[in-house]
Amino acid sequence: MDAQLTRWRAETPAAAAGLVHLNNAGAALMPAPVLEAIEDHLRLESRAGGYEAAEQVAPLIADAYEDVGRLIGAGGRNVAVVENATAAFALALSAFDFAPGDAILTTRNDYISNQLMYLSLARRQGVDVVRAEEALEGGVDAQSVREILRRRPVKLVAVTWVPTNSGLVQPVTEVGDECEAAGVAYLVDACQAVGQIPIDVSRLRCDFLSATARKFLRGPRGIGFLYVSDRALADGRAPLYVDMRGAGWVAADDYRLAGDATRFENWEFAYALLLGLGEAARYALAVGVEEAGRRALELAAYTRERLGALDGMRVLDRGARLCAIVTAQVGALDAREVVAELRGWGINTSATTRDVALLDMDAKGASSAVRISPHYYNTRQEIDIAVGALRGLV
Amino acid sequence: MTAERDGAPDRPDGSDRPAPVLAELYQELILEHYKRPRNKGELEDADVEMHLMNTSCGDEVRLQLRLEGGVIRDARHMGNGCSISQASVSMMSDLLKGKTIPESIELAQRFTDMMHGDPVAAREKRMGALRALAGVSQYPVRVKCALLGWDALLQALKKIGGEEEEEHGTGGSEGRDR
Ligand SMILES: Cc1ncc(COP(=O)(O)O)c(C=O)c1O
Repeated sequence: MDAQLTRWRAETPAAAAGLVHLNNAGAALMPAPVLEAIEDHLRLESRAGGYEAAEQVAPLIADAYEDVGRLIGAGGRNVAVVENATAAFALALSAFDFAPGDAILTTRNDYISNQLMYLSLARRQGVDVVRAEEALEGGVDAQSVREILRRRPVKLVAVTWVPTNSGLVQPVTEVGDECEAAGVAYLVDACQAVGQIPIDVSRLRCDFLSATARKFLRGPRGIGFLYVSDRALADGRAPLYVDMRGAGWVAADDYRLAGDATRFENWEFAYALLLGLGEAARYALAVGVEEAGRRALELAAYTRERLGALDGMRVLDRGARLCAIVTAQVGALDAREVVAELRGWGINTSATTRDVALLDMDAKGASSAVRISPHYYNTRQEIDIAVGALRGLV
Repeated sequence: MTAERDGAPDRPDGSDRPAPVLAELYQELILEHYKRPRNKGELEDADVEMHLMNTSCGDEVRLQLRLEGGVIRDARHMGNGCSISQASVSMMSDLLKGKTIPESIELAQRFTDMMHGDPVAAREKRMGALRALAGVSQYPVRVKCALLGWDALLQALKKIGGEEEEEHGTGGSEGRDR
């Protein structure tokens, strides 16, 4: 084990103690400094009072925004901190006044909750949900996005960068180029990308980007963020329901929006988790997202190779580009039972089922799959342990 | 409470809400130094240079000093990292100019005291903008961010001290080696 890996594992006590955690796409293990930041603040709140504690550490709170910004190539002013990626995504959608017949252009692989929101907009507001064609190798075809944008007016393009139920990485930069050329607003769900794929929002040309802390970023549960571009801010994009943090009530019948992304925030939130999110961003920057992704990808490729060699195991990941999520159908077994079995061995994985990714799973003819998602702090030996356990099951 | 960051309107202060005027001022000051750092850049005629990196969080500072007759005439810095580390070194670079070596060391000592929770240090006028960083002392993990530039300063001054000793032939070790 090289020195870096040894240090990362020492700072991840559960991994050091032998837990084989291969569920980083669910929730990764937090590194010690992240946990410490959260605990420190909770203790300060209990000593000083909740409001007073936040006031005392105002510089660190402001720094957390800047650190999240640095992670994605943005300023702190472009970051709104919210409860999770779903809330972030919904807030971004609510910044558009959809009228009947307006189109949202998306993909067949977008995350389930995003698909449900589009369908809700279709049902209640008469929005047209248009799904671009898939490329032959899997994932959305940017060419199809271009053709649709030429053919009909589209109000918003929304793409999930890494849909949760397979290793697919969607071509978000190429789609961003199409949106830019067509002058259409662009929303990216980067929930599974942040922490494993370097993000530069200016290269993506997106107006909004949603993410959560707990996955490859290794932050705590219960907090996420929304990136809001300067362009979206200047265009006056704001959530439908504005809170007193997001706006000032300047006259009986008037309000003024905050100039920065705080207009998407609520007044109250978990400052301890915010500090944990900031620490996770700093930790990821110190490790280097490029390096983290390279190591995670290498482990994922190794996992696919080993699983592919097992009889009865079918690796389901398809796409021109794959990430550190590996999915496989385990014989005729229900993946949920497989996950439970592995859990008993001290191996954490997760199950993905047809109902969370209808279109993708039907295209693959699979009803469930075990999902193995290594990260840079995992080892080949841990993959061997998981594969060994799976071999005993099929 | 965070932030009124750039362009935010005056927040209506409900009666149960704190009025964190000072906290917000401090926060703005830090962000101001972070976004528009003072004395950022390179010195062509630096007398001493020190490069420090915090491997656990990636913060990086390269400090250069130019001295005349034991007085710091110019201080420049390069590097990157969190707003705490970068604002701290920016504020420091402003305060160092015109200070003698012993004065600079004393300032570094008082700042370190403040970072270790000394409430008296946090009220001293000579700390200037640095007082905005007092809240960082609440979090031991982050104190090292605020101290990075100051560690660079102390090591740079030590280096100068060493060189001067060598130049003037007062270095004991040099004598022994011969
Ligand atoms: C791609 C993707 N988007 C969005 C979400 C939702 O994130 P959250 O649970 O933080 O709202 C998930 C969660 O698994 C996800 O994988």
